[in-house]
Amino acid sequence: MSQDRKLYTAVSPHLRSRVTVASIMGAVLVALMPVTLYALYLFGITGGIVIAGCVFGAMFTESVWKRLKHNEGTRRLYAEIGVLALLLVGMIALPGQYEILQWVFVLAMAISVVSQMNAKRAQKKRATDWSAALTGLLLALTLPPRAPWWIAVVGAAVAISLGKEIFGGLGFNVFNPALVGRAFLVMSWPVLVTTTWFSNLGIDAGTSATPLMLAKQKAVQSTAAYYGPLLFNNYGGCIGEVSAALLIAGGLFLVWVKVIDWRIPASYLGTMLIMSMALGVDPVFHLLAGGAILGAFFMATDYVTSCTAPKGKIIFGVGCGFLTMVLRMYSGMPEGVTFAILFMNMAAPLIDRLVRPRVFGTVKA
Amino acid sequence: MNVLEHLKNGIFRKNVLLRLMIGLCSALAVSTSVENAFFMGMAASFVLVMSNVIISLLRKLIPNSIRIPIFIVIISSFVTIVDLTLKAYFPEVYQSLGVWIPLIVVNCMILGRAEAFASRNGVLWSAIDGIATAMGFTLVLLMMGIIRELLGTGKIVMFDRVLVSLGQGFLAPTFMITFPGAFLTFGLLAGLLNKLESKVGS
Repeated sequence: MSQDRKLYTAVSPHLRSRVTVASIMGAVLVALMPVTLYALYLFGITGGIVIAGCVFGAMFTESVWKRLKHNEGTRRLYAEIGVLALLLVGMIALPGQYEILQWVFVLAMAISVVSQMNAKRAQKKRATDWSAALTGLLLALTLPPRAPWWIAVVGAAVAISLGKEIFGGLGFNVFNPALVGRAFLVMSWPVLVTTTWFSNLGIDAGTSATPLMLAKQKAVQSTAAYYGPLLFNNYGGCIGEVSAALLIAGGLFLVWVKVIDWRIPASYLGTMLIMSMALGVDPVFHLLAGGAILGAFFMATDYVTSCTAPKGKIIFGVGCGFLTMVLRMYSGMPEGVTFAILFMNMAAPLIDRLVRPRVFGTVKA
Repeated sequence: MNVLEHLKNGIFRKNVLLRLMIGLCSALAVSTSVENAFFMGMAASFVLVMSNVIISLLRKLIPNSIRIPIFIVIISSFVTIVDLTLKAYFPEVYQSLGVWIPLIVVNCMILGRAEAFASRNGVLWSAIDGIATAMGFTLVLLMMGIIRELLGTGKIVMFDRVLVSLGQGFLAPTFMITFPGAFLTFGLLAGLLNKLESKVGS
């Protein structure tokens, strides 16, 4: 036959959704913007360097890993690392310029990341799926606003390296990367990560503590006095604790656009509510204080590290809420969200396995 | 198989800690400082080589059904020697190693090599196997000790003398001194060994 018409067979999928990893990460970043901007307004440049250090540190670490994995642009990578090392030496040698040099460091990482993105865009390839930026921002929200810049950068680097890349990249990690970073920081420099807040809400001019720490030490008469500040302008605490109202708004936005499943936050916060009532403590306070809202809406709902099955999600949320309250009430720490979620991340594959529905026609194994 | 091959295997391809992964608990627990790691390495090496030799000498006389208790008797006599020697000559090290010295008796590495090699092979080869395994063990222990102590406390101290120090401004991540730090260092070292071997192709 002398037909020169070719048969074009494409491999499925033939219909692609507009939802990509990048768009989901973007939605979560948008949901976190109100809290972040408000925190920047409250904490100024001090909080700014924590946020910038975490976000750009995470994105820079991700780009380093990417370039090492694919073995491309290594000469430029070594140059960038050389510049950063030089800046570090500069900070040690010229302690007078420390303030400026720390910003130069963060900016250097930012410039590297942005130029990488431009280079990739020129090749019509994607440089990042923004998951690292999200991890960085989430980590920043769990850190106190006066934490040193290097804690932000090291924490972000550890979060991306040990929390995600070492497992094989996005989708292969067992634990929530931001929480891995925070756990590492809490265990490595406990004083710097648990005391560097701004002044507290005025109960005691000498000490500075978060509402949760004060409640733990039983230093307050009534926790109901904290509802307003916790919802709207909480100075004492981590960057993400400034306004529970803005976090709830962001979380509800994500549920509305169906980026996260309502089951996990609902079961997480519901279990916390029930348990705090059963334990005789103020339930609303415990819901609003600390990282409960941030954890329930933004950390526990991470697709990779939580359960997939709907029933599993509920069990996951219940477990998280239970462990959070147990750690808050009975452990030495005032806050339990970090380790509760990390623990349930471990249990998630098992839960998914146990709630697997029976395939029609088979015998229950 | 010649002697050099056996020694190389003990350090690299069949490294008792990073490859066979036995005897981990004491290794992870004592590697918090180079001093502890060094003395534990020496102690375990001595026990390993001597017990390998004795067990190999007696291998034809030990009834099969009660071989493990007899191995333990032999091993524990050498551990007692080490215990008393350390107590006499290095009391501070003895204090800081604490319970891990008597636990050398049930160190899986020593019992494992006795069971797998010394009870089946001649004295000379058992001794060589003991030396190879001990070298691998001590090397990994020293590396872990250096990394954990340097990063976790900012300096390496031996016999109250500071050997290496990272300076005053270094705020050490105490994570490295804790058990999670031990597991992390160990895992990264095992990965490093794998990577090196895949590159060299040995």
